[in-house]
Amino acid sequence: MIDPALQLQIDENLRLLYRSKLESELPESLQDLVRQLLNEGKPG
Amino acid sequence: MNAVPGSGDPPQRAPAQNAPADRDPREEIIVHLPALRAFALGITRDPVLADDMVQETLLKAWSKFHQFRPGTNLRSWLFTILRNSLRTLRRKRSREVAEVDEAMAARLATKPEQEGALALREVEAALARLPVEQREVLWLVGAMGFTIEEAAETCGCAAGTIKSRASRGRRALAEMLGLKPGETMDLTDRATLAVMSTRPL
Repeated sequence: MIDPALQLQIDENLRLLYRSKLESELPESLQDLVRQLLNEGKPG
Repeated sequence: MNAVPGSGDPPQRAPAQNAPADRDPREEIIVHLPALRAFALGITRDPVLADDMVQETLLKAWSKFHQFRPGTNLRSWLFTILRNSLRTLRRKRSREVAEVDEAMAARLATKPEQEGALALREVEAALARLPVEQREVLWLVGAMGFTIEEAAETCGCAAGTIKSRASRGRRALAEMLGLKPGETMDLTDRATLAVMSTRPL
């Protein structure tokens, strides 16, 4: 088993890395696809 | 266990579950897109490829939503789809992935820029050197807060396997990053701490 304090440090950095990936917006192509899917089957 | 999307099933709309009559239950998928993209970015380290994988996941999940059992774990189901797509891609591009990993490993071999502090990109470079199974588990459990059971469901393996991969991955990361048990080294610089304090997880 890894040292608990070391595990906390590792996971803290992993969370920071994850947050850095979340900061960027979804690309336009993905946003367009979402709009297209949401509008499928809707009248008008 | 929900079926993971296959091929040939005609797309059907899933019945609404405790939702207004005019609300498509598939809209819940969209909430998970940023997390899916972050995971894909973390595993592939290629923004264009990650976006393609997320797009493919969205299309599969949207068209095969009838295979998802309401009330079960949608996040796990979506990440299973994404993970399967990534595995398929890795099988096709095994040589390319190995070359990218070697380049990343070479960059990690240089001395860290700041004594006593670790840049996020060094953590990412170290992650890139791990076997993909360990990298996936560290992303899911360490970075994104999946429970062991949730990660086991997503990866299609036993909880004990997830624990083992997490433990080995963390030990390997600690070794690559020069961390030792009992040390109280401050791993985050001021800028990163500022980000942590202002942003909810």
